[in-house]
Amino acid sequence: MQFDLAASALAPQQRADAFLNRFLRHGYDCFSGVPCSLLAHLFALIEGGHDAGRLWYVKAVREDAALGVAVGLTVGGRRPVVLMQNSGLGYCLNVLTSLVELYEIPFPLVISWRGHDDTDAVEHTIVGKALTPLLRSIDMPMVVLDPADPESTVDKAVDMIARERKATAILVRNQL
Amino acid sequence: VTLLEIKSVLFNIVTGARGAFVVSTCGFISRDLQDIRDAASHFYLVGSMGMALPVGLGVAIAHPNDLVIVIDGDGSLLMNIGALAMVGDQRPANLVHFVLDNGVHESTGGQSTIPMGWIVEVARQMGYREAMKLSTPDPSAWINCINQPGPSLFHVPVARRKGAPKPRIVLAPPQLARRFAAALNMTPQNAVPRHEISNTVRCAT
Repeated sequence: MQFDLAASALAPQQRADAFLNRFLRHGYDCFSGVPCSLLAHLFALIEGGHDAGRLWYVKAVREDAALGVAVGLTVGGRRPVVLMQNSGLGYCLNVLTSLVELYEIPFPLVISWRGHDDTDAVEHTIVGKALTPLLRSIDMPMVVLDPADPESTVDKAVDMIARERKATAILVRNQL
Repeated sequence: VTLLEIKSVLFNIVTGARGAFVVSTCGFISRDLQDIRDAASHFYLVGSMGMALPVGLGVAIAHPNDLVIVIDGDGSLLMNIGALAMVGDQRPANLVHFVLDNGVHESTGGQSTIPMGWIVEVARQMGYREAMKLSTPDPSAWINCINQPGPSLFHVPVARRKGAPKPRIVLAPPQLARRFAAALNMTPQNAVPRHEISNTVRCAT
């Protein structure tokens, strides 16, 4: 799936704001994860939102721990969102397959897609290429963020989760 | 010193914490708990070693007015010891964390674990409100511990198991999740800002 970046009129801050507010509108008001520079604006908004009492943020030591918290929040009747860099997905494979998917706990995972082209730092090269095959291999549905319309991407993911009751990845290639 | 038996420890927890919600770690601990008493308020992990504490933390945040008990093993806590810092950061008053320490990975054949004699001090330093070693068989002491404002950690040295392992978890994982969610959401639940979380949560005994 390719997007015309020139058509994206939104500044990164606006994108992050639209993305977060769309989640809040859908009732997703708990967030846990480990930051990525690509998600810097989003994390700033989440930290600010926590301090302002608009949402709940659980800082995680590692991405798999964020998944565990999200499982607890979901069975407790809340709607959590997990955020991570794709490098953290490796830490998560066991928890995704033996907890999140096995117990059928549905929530969105926002995953920054470092190394999606050849311009990123070397440490992202291998996982950048492996990301979508990895997710496919564990049967996790995924959508790619449309930078021109973050709200429709959130709507699409939320709709998929409601329909299929499966944890679903939102892959982010643009600064958010 | 006579070590406590895991069976009597789990019995003290389930009888001392009526009305509480329990998340138990994978392997023999969940199987022992199911064998002693099965309940919709129990969430047994069958895999994902190290996740009992993060899952319990999520439940405790979602349900600040319900008591949440995490039953961990020494090996599973060591695997994800950073989660203590997350609990210390969030400081849910309604979270009680038991660590049953037999010094071995018993579910996988009894391989020795790294000794954790320092765990009480570490939990305090990481922000738990209370942490102590618990080695008495006296049920009333257990009730007192459970009813202290959390987050609290109790390090319980226990003996290795005798006899055959208890049966595997009977229900399929999606059923376990659904019945636990149903039990939880029968109790009052809503979004409560951090400052409103009571630090005097008491469980019904």
